[in-house]
Amino acid sequence: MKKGWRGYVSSRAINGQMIPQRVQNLVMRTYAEKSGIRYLLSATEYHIPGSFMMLESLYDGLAGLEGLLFYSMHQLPEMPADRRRLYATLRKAGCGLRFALEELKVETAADAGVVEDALICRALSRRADLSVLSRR
Amino acid sequence: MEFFQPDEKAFNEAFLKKGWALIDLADRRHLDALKTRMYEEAMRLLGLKGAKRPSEAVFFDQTQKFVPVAKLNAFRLAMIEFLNADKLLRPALFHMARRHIEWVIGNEIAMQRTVNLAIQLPKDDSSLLPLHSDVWSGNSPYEIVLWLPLVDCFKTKSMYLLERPESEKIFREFPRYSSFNAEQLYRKIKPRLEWLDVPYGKAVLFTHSLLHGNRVNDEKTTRWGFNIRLKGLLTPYGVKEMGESFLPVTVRPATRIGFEYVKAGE
Repeated sequence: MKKGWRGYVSSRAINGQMIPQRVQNLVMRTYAEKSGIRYLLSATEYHIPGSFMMLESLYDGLAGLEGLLFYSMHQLPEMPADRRRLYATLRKAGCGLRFALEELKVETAADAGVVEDALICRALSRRADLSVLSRR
Repeated sequence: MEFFQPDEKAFNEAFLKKGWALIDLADRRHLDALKTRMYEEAMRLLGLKGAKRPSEAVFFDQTQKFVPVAKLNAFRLAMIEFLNADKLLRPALFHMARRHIEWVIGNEIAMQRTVNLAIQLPKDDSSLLPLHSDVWSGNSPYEIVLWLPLVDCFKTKSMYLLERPESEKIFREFPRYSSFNAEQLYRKIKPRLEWLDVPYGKAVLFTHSLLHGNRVNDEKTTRWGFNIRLKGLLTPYGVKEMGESFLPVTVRPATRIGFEYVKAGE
């Protein structure tokens, strides 16, 4: 019996911004209510850069879950191989993957492709310089 | 040596000069069909049946007779939810304006995930967009807006903008106006504003870095229109980020091979 969607929040910067965990949980709870899914207490990733120890720990409990609910797709592992392993592990366990902030879900290989494209485009396109006035 | 075709070159030179352009939609039948679907949904939402049901033309022109101002936003949001549930909406809007979008942006494009719908009833001051430049609130200056009305738009039923040289003059002199509110700035630049005359079947592309907005619709009929943002796939993003607000719509093979090569190298 699958119980619901395990939340996954971060204690380090997400896409360059520190987001209070309370806000991350609030966004996920709102998304879960809107989407009609059962949101389970979040696991919190450690603040140590590059650590995915909590995410790795979640793999063991996938049999009892409908899937993982991340606050954002920018919490995904940086290495493409690690992301591919995540998608494959979830698919094998019959679990879904959702991102509350972006309101995106990964149910198929094509969905994973959309997320991959978005991540790569984001990484390749630097943030706009909006200091319009100071350039004049 | 000239790389642009003459029509493309002329269009782009005019766009660079003014910051906006009026375009013909590629196939109006798509817009007609979309409008009819919206009409049917509106009739369902408003419970208008039988003799109470107006014609499509009357409903879009005289929406104020069927939707009270107090219920307008809830109605608009319900229509937006209906429209965006249709996976074909964004491709349809894109294809209607694709030629000119690609002239202005290029052919690898990211598109906003949600199509916005504006409904402006006559004399209604509840849904106004005061004078602003989207870049001032953190949006990327690399974005352009496709503004696509579902009815004839003219005078105060339309939108206004300040063309590029004039807008940039305001940006350069911004410290002079920094204590103004939006209304004071509007009054200052009012004589120089361009009110867009956009008949049904045409659309506007504009850079939202231009100063623009709307006023109370003093015409006798309601304005209905879509707006959606588009940008070069790999150009810089602002507060509306890739994933959260934008998604890729056209990724070319060379770029995808580049993506894959980076992955293999890692």
